[in-house]
Amino acid sequence: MNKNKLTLRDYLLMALISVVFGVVYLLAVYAGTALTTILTPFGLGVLGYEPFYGIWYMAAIITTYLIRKPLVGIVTEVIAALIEVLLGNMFGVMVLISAFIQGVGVELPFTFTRYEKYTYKVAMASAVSATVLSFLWTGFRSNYLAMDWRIVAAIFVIRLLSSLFFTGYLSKLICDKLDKAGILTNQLTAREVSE
Amino acid sequence: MIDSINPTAKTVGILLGSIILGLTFQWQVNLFVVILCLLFLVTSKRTDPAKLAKIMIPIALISVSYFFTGWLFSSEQALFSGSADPAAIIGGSDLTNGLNLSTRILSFAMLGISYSLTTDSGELIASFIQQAKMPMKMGYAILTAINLTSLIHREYDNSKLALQVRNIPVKPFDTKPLFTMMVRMIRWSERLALAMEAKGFSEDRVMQMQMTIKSKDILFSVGLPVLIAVMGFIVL
Repeated sequence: MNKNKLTLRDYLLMALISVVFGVVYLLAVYAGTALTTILTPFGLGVLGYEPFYGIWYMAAIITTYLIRKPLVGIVTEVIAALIEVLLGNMFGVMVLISAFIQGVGVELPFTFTRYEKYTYKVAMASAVSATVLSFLWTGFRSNYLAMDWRIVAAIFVIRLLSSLFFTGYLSKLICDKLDKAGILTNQLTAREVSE
Repeated sequence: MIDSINPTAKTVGILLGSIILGLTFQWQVNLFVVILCLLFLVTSKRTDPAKLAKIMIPIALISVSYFFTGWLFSSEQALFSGSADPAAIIGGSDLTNGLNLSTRILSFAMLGISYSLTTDSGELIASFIQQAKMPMKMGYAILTAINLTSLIHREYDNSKLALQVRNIPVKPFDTKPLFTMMVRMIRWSERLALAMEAKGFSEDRVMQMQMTIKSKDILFSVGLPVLIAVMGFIVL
């Protein structure tokens, strides 16, 4: 396990990638709002944002893959949340808690591998743990106990599928392409030289 | 009123207030918090009415969607606990449940807006570095990214255009421009770190902006959660 402290370059990479994903999040918010509008009259509006939920974990898993140091997933999510808050996110400070929980969820499976395995299996486990923890948190925030169990089950299943696709599959695919292009090797070598 | 509160104290107060609010399940408490937050926003000089109106549209929509879900798909437990509510006499337990859920999400959002629209980014980072012991590197990385936001947005559009001029179609959520952006961000982070360190950036940096905690900041960070708790568990 790489136990070196996070450098300025690592923090900058996490912050810049968070802003890039901020653009993607915005697209997801537009799509989710449109879907919520369509589903609201049927009482299913709460499902509107669920198909895009996995997108919110992508920045954390990509930086964990790129930087390969402990706590990167959590710090990335917190940085992304702070940037969102400063740009006027509607849930303000609550986003910081959500971000921390999502970061823990993404990072947990990597911790068990001591940050040494970056396979599809670990990425999928990461997607599952992020879904479970974020589901528990949003369950508290939105009081899922007051809703019919079928709606709550639908929220979980759709979020899990979205997470498996965006976090487990798509993020890993992007990282593998970066690795194939030699970006990751150059980056790790550059870091080894600077340390 | 809320503008002059120390950002770290404001974070603690609103964070604790939100958690306590999460433990209450009455629409009256939620409505009280919404009114309180509106008061914060109206008295703030930093609130941009146009931005507030723009943010309120999705919030109103989400709130309405929760109302319909709570109304049409109530759990048995919610129906039972809501039967004693005065609003249930008029519209039934289903309606009370919808009201509870919609005002709950609205009150969380209003707390969030009254935080994000009344907090200056420079002051927040300076306060987090000085009062919450955030690493200097992390704070400046966030400020760098915020200042580069519009440039990153333009770069993202350019990378999509670069693909389109080569007759490669770009769909929404396409990974091709995202891949290009990842490569660019890795390069930018290397160059920015080198440039900042070349200018003498380190953890020992002295900050011109000095943030302090005054008694009114402590009063806010303790008072807001206590007020919500009193309203939720004692008064209503």
